[in-house]
Amino acid sequence: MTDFIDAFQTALGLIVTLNANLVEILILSIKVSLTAVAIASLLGFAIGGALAVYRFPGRGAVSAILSALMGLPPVVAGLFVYLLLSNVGPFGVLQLLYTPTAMIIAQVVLVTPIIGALTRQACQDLLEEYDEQLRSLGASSSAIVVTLLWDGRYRLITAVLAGFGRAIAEVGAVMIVGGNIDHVTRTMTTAIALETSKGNIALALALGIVLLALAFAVNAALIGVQRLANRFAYA
Amino acid sequence: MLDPTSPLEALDGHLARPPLPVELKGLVYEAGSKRVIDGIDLTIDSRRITAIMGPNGAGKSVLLRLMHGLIAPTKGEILWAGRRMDRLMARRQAMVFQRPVLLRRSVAANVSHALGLRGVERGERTIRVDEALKLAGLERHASTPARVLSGGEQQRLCLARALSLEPDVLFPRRADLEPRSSVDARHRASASRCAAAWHQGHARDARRRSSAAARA
Repeated sequence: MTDFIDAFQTALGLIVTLNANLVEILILSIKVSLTAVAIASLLGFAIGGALAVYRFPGRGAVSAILSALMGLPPVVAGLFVYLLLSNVGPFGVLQLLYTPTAMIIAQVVLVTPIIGALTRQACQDLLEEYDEQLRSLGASSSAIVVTLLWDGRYRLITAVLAGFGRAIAEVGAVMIVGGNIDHVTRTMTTAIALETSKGNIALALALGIVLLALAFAVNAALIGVQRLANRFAYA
Repeated sequence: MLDPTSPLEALDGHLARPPLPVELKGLVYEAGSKRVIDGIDLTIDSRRITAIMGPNGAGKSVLLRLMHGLIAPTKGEILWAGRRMDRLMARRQAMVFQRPVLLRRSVAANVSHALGLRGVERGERTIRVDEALKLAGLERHASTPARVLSGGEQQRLCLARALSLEPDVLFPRRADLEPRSSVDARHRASASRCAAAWHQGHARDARRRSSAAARA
């Protein structure tokens, strides 16, 4: 118990004194996850909006696959990206393996289905209500997609935050394609796994506390967005 | 089909023609196994008042939706001034739905969005939004989220939005035409103002059309 209290005190000390190693890991983690979520949002909004509005053969199957991919295991996503980026893979020539770019690609693969499926659902719900009104106004399909995305903005923010939560907390994919290289591709989650196995509980605990705080912040933001939407009857 | 002229010329040519009469020929509409509209033949002209009456579920709303082109008939056809419904004709019509459908935006943005979809320029849009909200007595609520308005205010906003499009053909709700609707007296006055303004504008356009035709 004393060991745990000591480790906890050391961890808090690392956070309060803004330990350089901890800050470096934190900044890289946030940079990678924010970039991945930004790219995944653009892809997810376009895919989700189009799936809700456009009618084409196989639309149901595409929607089902997208929803199923929400539960894609991170290690499988990591393995898939690893195979694509390894020297024997089709994109091996780009030499992206074990770089932050590879980690961003892996997180985009993980997060796009989450944002895409939640966007599709949000747009579909709105379309049920708006369809005849928008068609009566002469809206084209692309104009309908834009209208639905804007009117579903609060639900889309929720989708983006859910995607960020998934990206920042996952370990398997970034471990496989990033390699957990010190000062290069070490993120909070991979560092926690490594430091724990090394017995450096203090740093692992400090990173864990920061990660937990981020998770709480994301959830608080989700609740805030929901309240704002309800206040304006925009939910 | 559009004439082989420029889109603007085609639109000008289209607008010069009156939209009525509307002819319903052997109109049938089936929803699943149920025949909702069963072989209607009808001509509606602008020179007389035509009332479509029937009990709830008789298919009045379905008929209006068919005429507005929101749903396609199972059999038969609808001709507006001798032509099938097309995009240009649809742009000359507006419908107010039984249940108010409002975007998750401000009152002004709801009207502005509709005008934007009809291709109205940004500057013109601002003027028309102001006019529509004034007519509906909603100018104080311009920046209020539309969905927090009361039921009556939402209905007036839907009517104002439809009228801001300056349609030649308006499909209103029954309540918009009835003197004793659920809308309270003050709001009814605004709704009447809206309808009167539309009639005036329409009469002005008709006069303009006939003078243009006489000149030609």
